[in-house]
Amino acid sequence: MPITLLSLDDVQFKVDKEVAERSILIKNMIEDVGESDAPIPLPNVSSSVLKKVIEYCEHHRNDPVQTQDETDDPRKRSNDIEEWDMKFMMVDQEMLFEIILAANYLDIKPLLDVGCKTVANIIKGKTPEEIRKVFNIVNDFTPEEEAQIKKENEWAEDR
Amino acid sequence: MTATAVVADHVPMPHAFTTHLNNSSVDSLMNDANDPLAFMLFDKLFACFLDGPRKDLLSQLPYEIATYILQFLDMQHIAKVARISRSWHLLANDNEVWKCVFLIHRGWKFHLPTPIRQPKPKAIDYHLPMATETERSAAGAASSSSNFASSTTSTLVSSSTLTPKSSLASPTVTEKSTIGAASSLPTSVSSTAVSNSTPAPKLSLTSPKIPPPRLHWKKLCHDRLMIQHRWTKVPFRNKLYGHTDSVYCIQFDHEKIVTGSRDKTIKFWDIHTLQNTHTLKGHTQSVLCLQFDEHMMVSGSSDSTIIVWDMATRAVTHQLRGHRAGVLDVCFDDQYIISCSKDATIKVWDVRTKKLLRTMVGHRGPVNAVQLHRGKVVSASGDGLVKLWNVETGVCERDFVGHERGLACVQFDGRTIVSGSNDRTIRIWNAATGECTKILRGHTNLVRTLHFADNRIVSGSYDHTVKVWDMETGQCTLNLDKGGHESWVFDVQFSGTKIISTSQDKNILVWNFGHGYDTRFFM
Repeated sequence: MPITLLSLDDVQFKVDKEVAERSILIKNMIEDVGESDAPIPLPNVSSSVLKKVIEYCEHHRNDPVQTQDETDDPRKRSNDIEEWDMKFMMVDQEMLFEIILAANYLDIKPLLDVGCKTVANIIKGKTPEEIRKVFNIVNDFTPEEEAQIKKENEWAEDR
Repeated sequence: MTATAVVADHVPMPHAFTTHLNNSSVDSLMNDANDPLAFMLFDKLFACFLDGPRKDLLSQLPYEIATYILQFLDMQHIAKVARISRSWHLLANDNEVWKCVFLIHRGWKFHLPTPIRQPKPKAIDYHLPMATETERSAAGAASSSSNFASSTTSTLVSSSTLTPKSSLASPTVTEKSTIGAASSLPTSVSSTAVSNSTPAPKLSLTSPKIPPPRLHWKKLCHDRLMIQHRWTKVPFRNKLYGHTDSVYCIQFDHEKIVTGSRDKTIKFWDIHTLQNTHTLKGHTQSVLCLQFDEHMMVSGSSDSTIIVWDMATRAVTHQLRGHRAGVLDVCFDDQYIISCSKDATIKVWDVRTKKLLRTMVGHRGPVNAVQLHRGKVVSASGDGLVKLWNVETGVCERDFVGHERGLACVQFDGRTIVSGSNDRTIRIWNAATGECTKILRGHTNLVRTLHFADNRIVSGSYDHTVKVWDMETGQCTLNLDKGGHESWVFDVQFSGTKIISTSQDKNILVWNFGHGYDTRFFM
C-alpha cells in the first residue's frame, strides 16, 4: 500500500512504502502507528524539497541498510560520492541547505552524508578567500585575531 | 601527513576525497583523480552551487550538522576553515571534528589504556575538563588564544553529552566501543533523535556510570603529527640491559617488551620504566623466536622445541616436539601455530589441542621465517625462495622468485609480502600476482629482520644498521647507524612512536620518537 506524505505547504505525495521507509523517522512512525491511509504530515519539509528527497529515496530504494557500525565509526566511513548522487546534488545553495536539513529531520543518513560530503568537497577545493566568496561570508576577525588563529593552527596546515 | 593529495587551492577538486580512508571505496568515481568525468561533474556541480543566492551554510546549519560536515575534512582543511570567520573558527575547534581527523588519518592508531594510568609527572594531560552548556554557548565570541587549554574551553564539549538533539551525536559511539561497556548513551541518542518530543528519561536509564574519558583530540592530533615529523631524524634512544648474550627476538605491546636470547631466557620488560620484570626459563638452548597475545606466548629454540606459555602465569603449558633442528620462527592465530626450522620444514599445529596437523615440505634449505595470515602461510628460506602455502591443504600455491641469495625474513599482510635477503635487498611482492613490485637497496649486508605497517618498513641488517623505508617510493627515509648497534641486528618491531631493535651486541635499543610527549594514547 502506498504511503501518503504531506509537505509543509500541504502538497500530498504518494510513494511506495519501501521508498518512504528510507526515512527512519517515517519508518518508525509507521511501525508505531500502524499503516493507514491517513497522510503523514512532515511539517518541516516544503514540497519542493520533499520532491527532491523522494527522488533520492526512489533511486536508492533497494540499497542495503547501513549498519550502525559503518555509519558511526569514522574509520569505516566512506568518503566518496557516486555519480548519480553527484548529479542529484547539482542544486543551488538554498536547496542543498534544505536537503541537508530535511535528511537530518527525516533521518536519512545516506542522504545527509552525501549532502555533507558535497559541502566538504567544495570547502576542500577552495582558498579561504574563495570560501568567503562562495558562502557570502564577511571576515569578522580583527587583524590581530587573524594572525593569532593562523599561528594557532600553523602546525596543521604544514605538510 | 595524510595520504590525501595536495592540490592547488584554486583547482576544483573532483578527487578531493581520496585515499585516506578504507580501501572499500577504491572503485568509486571520486577516487580516481584522473577521471575526466569526475572533473566535469564536479565543475558542473560547483557551477550549480553558485547559481543562486549565497548563504553561510555552515553558520546557518545546526551546530551538530555543521561540525559533521567538517568531519569529512582532513587537518589542513580544518585549519583553513578556522581562518574563515569567527563562527567557522568555533566549528573548527570542535572536539568531535578533531577526533575524526585523528581516527581517519592514515597510519594513526588510537589506544585507550585500560585502566587509564594516572599521568606520570610532567606528562601532558589530554583529558578535557568538563564544560558547561553556558560555556559552550558563550563561546560564540571568537576565542583567540593560541594556548590549547584556553582555546578549547569554548569547544571541548562533545555533542553527545550535552545536546542529544540530533542523530549526529552518533560518532561518539567509537569511543564507547573502544572502552567496552562504558556508555550506551550515543545509541539511545540516535534512537530518540528523530523526534525532539521524545521524552528524555530513556537517556538517564542508560547513562554511563563512568563517563568515557574526555580527550583533547586537537592536542592529540598535534602531538601525533609532531611525533610523525620526527621519523626523519635519529631519535632519543634507550638501552635495555639484562641479557647476557645475543638477543634474537622481540615483541612489544602497550605494557611490555618481551625478548628472547642466546642466554636461553625470555625476559619481560616494563615498556614505561624499561625495567626487567620477569625472566622465563624453559628452553635448553637459544631462544630464537617468539610471539605472544594476551593469553599465550609461543617460543622456538635451537633446542628444536616449541614452548607454549601462559601469559598470565608465565608458566610453560606445552612443549611441542617434532622438528629435527632449531626452530627459527613461529607464529599463531586462533586456529594454528606455525613453526619453521633449520630442518627445511614448516609444521602446522592445532592451536587448541597443540597436536601436529601437518608438515609442509618443499624448501631446499633452512626455513628462516614464516608468517600466517588467514589460512595462508608465507615462508622465506635459505634456498632463496619465498613460498605461499595453503595451510588447510598443505599445498604450496606460489613461489616468489627473484632474490639472488638466501632469505632471512618475511612479512605478509594478506596482500603484500615483504622479504629480506642475504643479497642485501628488501623486495616487495604482490601476493596475488607473484610480481615483485619494488627492490629496496641500501643495506650493505644481509637483511636479517623487517617489520612493515602503514606504508613503512623498518629493517635490521648484519651491517649493524636499522633503516626506515617508505613503501610507496621505496626510499630509505631514516638510517639508524651512529650510536646504534655494534653488531648484527637480529630483530625489529615498531609502532607509531618507537622502534625497538635487538642485536648480537646483547643490547635492546628503544628508539623513541615520542620522547617528551605523552604517548599513552598512540599506537
